[in-house]
Amino acid sequence: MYQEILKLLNFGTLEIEKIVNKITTHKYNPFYYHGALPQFYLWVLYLSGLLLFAYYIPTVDNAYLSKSLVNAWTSVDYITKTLPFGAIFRGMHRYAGDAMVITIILHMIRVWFTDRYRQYRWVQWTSGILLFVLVLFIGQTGYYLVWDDRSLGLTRMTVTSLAWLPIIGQPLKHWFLNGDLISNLTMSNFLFIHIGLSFSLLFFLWIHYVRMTRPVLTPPPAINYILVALVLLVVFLCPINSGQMANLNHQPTTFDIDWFFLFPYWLMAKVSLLSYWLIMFLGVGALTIIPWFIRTKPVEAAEVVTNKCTGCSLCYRDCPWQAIEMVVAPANSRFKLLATVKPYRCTGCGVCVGACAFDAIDVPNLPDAQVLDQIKGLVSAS
Amino acid sequence: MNRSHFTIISSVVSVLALLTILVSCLMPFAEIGLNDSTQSYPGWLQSVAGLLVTFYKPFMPIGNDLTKYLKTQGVMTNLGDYAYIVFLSIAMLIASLAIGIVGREDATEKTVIPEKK
Repeated sequence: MYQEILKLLNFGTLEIEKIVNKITTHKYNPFYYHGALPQFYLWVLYLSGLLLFAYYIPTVDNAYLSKSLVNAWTSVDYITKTLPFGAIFRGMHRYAGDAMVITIILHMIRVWFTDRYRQYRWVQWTSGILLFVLVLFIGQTGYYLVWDDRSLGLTRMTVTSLAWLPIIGQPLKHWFLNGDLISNLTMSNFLFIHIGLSFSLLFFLWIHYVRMTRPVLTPPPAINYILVALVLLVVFLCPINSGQMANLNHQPTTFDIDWFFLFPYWLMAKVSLLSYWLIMFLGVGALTIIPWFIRTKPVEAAEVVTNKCTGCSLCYRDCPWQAIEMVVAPANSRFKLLATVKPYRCTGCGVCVGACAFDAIDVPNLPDAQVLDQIKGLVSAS
Repeated sequence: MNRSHFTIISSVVSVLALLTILVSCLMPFAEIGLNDSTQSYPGWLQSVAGLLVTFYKPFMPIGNDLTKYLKTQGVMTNLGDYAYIVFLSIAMLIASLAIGIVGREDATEKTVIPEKK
């Protein structure tokens, strides 16, 4: 049943891509850069964040006493109201974050619908979920840094939820606040988490890419222009305004929610902490184990016809799964190298069959003629 | 690609390129706050200030609309920055369209199916 639904979703995805291809051609089809789009926004976030960092002061010093004091809120206020283009960079930082979440979700959906998250690609899926959770957490810490009423409310809600956890709750709370109470050290910690974790994304991205033969890392310039232009238009349409400066003697009861990053807080306010943590852990856990949860018929791996293989490496270079390895050919061979298939990596896609000019590789139950017909069909369709 | 097809594409790209330049020219207008004040122009521009104001005059109503919108959104300072990014983003969208049209030709993939020996 699941396989039937997946086939339908896959078909629908490919049909949409075909329609978009007719408008944009495959070169500018954003579906073909679905993994590169969030990464492009990551560079936008790094650059805009760097500029904001230059003017940001991570302190809560007497924030509730005087506006003339220099602290986190007043520095953000200075960036927004006085610094030339400060409000624009702040807006870009905020909305590029939202755009990154949207593109990550679209990337996940596309990968899922086209069945590219299982078997050898479990590493990409699992590291992708980890990256997504990290991005959400980093985005949330960005909301604490503004240090307005909402930041205070979010900080207190986080502290309450962490402290509730058995055994690790108190140490986590202490780590989060960088002490027992909200202080300047807390803001330094928030800034460290926000920036430190942002750069740790690069390490996890490396894990995300490590099993890909030719990952597409950057969209073409025309798409990049559109991505930046869209963010700029949203910055104009929905300018960023801070709330009131946080007052530690006051408990904010209501504040606006950015649904892309702050939906866990909405949930926290609606259900008990037990239910909140259960939903969080089960939700993330379920997403992570999906590649093993879905069981399908094992794939019959491609087979090399040893006496026909010339060791030309065409199949090795074309295989998107790194399932083909070139090894030294046996002593009685006329050629130096021989292609071998790693069955646990092979998905039976038939790319190697199409790549081989010597009819030296087969996929069981998928004759060469059928593979060639499929390729010719695709070529004529495009 | 035949000659007439090529001419049409060239014409469209030329129009888009001109539009990009026109909208780009509006960026300084946006930066000074979408008005006809020439006080903030640097000295070397003062000599052509009259010409620039004449060029910007038709866009004054747009400037007024943008200012009104931004004020209703709670923006009170650096209004020119916001207007600047509107023109910048429009210029980028038009430029991407032009790049896309030029790039369509390269997008025709030449797939060679290997001959089986």
